[in-house]
Amino acid sequence: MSCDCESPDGSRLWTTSDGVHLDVRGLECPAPLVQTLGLIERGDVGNVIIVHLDQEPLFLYPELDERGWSHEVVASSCGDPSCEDEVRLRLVRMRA
Amino acid sequence: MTLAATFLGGAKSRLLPPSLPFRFFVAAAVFHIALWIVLLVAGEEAVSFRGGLGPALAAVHLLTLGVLTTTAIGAAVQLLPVATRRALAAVWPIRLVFWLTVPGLIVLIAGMYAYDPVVLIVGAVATTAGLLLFAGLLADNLRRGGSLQVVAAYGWAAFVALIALVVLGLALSIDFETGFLGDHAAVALAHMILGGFGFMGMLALGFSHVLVPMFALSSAPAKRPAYAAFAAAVVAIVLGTMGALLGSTPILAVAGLIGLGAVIAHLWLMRIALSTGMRKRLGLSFVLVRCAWACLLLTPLIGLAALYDWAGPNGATLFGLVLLGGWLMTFLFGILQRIIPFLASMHVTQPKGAPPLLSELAAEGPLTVHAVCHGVGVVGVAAAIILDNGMIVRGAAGIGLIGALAFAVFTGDVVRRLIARRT
Repeated sequence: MSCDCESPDGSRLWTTSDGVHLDVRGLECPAPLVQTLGLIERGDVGNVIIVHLDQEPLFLYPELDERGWSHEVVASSCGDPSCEDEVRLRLVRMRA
Repeated sequence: MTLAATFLGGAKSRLLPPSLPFRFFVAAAVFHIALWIVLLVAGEEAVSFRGGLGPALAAVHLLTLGVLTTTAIGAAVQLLPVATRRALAAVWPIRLVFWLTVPGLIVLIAGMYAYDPVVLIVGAVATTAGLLLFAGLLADNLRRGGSLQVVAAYGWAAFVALIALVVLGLALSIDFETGFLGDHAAVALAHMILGGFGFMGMLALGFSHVLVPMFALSSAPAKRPAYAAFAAAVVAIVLGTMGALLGSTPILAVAGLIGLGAVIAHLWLMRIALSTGMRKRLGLSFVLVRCAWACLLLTPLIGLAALYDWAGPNGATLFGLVLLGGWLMTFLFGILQRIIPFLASMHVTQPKGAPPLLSELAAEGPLTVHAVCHGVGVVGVAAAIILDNGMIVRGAAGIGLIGALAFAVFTGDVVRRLIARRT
């Protein structure tokens, strides 16, 4: 999970010390929702995922609750203008 | 302001005040009740309806304008800005759309019911103004939104159909008083094709490309076949409208066959979305959606049969019912079951910052009653049309009315819970 991988669907996946990052900005609805849940269901992503989105994924929350993950909108701190419109969501596994 | 609230820039900044979309949904719930009451009162006229003023025409417009269009406006003004990531230019035009369209269509339908062309024209003018304003809002948002190209294509087609639809509708209204149209029935058929397949149909097919994958948790349909299905639907609607206006059976038949191809392509794409989705159990709402899809497939077949007099003496009436009641109304209620609590949840933030679960905002009992009564009601009206029996329509309408009341209870309950959680 340490590679900076760009998948054919346009999402980007990389790992830092604070967790696995998934960037789904620019993808059309419902791809951000599906990509995030697909990553969670892979099972090899550890306990923390940071998702980078264009807008708050309100429809994702019930799905996360069902799968035992908590969520929190966190500050975007990349210092780049491209982050200004970003919503950064921190997901934490609550149960296996 | 909390950190979370600071970063709720995205979807929440594009949310309208909840009273805006919900006023359209509440109005639609009331018109839905009125629809079944009119059918209960005027059952005999409905089974062989071919046009002309009276309660049956009023019932048709309670369905098309009162239920379908009103709901479509409420859903579109809220969902489209979230989907296209572009806020509507202003909020006040939506309020104006409501105050032009809803009172306007009440007057319009009252004029139809009471055989009064002058009242009908007054209502038609107000309704036309409201719908044109809505068309402008729709076009402005589609123009500024660069994403969701397939949905936008359907949106533009719906926009063009809406303009043509309201122009023909206004002309038909004035024709009841002046008789200036050469062939009122031909224009009425074109008006119906533009409304059922053009405006409402294209919106339903277009939003399906986002909503069905979102509910099933699957990827959006592949773009190339989606555009092919879209192109076939547009050609079918253009040919159907031309065939109706020219009174040409062969053109209408070609339109029906191309439309059948478009339907098959759309259903194939939806089947892939469902079969590849992460969620397999989609609940009661998708029972209704699947029934609606069955009616969508039947619509061009019954239309072709009616065209060649193979569908019995009331074949044209049956075609109208399967299109408007079987496909569009059933699909709409299947989707509404999901999006009304979803839209409500977007407006409620709990202490931890996240919206509540959808199940916390909606009661399931009334939805089950509605789904069963809706199914029995529509099938009953179809049976009455086939058997040419007005009493069966009255019985079916009584059952449909129970369903409409149950759906109104569901809508009212969501609004009540929304208000309670926001205060």
